[in-house]
Amino acid sequence: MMTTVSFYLLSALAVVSALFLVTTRNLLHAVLALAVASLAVAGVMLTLNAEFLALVLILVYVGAVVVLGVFAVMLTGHFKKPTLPSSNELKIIAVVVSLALVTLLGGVILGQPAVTGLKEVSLDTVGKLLLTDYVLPFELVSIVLLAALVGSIVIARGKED
Amino acid sequence: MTLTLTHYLLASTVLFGVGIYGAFSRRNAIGLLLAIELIMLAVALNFTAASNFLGTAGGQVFAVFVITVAAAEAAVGLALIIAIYRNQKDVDLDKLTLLKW
Repeated sequence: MMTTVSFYLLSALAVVSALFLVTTRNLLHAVLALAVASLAVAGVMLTLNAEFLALVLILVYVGAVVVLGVFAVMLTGHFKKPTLPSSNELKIIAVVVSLALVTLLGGVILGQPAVTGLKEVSLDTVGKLLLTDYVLPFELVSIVLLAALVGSIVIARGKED
Repeated sequence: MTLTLTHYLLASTVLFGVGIYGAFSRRNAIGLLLAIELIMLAVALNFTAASNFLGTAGGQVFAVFVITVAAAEAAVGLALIIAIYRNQKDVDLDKLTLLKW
């Protein structure tokens, strides 16, 4: 019962802050809305008994992505002039496309047989899978992270000499 | 009224749709990147829900991968935005027509 109530509250919070993120004119508010949405999704993951992923999500999204976003907004000075409309002329098409997509996916999901009952997925199993069956993708992801790290330093540093 | 996998999948579908709307309609490059982060968030939630309802740990492994790739993408994307801002003094996507001819 407690889980059900918290699932509904947290997913409503996630959707509301997501809507705020995509519509607000002030980009700094949008970045903060991403932090709220990530925390809410982490809470939804807690109702799934996925504590590890909830903590990783908070660490990476709130700890890294949001801080990067705040820096980008500050460095490009876009928190000063929130006068421009936040959306371009594709707005109506975008509403239609995303509503159609949600309706389509929702119809497919509702057509599936209901799966009830959470299974126990221990962190032990996840860790063992990461280093046995999924060891190749795991190493690839670490190379991707290294490349992204070096690449973003090189791109953002610019020409000094 | 117990929670089923359908509830979680619908919640993440709505988040995904909101993210798609943002990615289509944002005028500012930073807003676009934030909307893409939202899409990644919805995907990670989807993987986790499927994993914990079906009892297979593979979904959680892939959720970790999705979160990692989202972080890498944010780092590179925001670095690109700063580089573009340094050259063009603007990150309005409608004005970035340097590669158009």
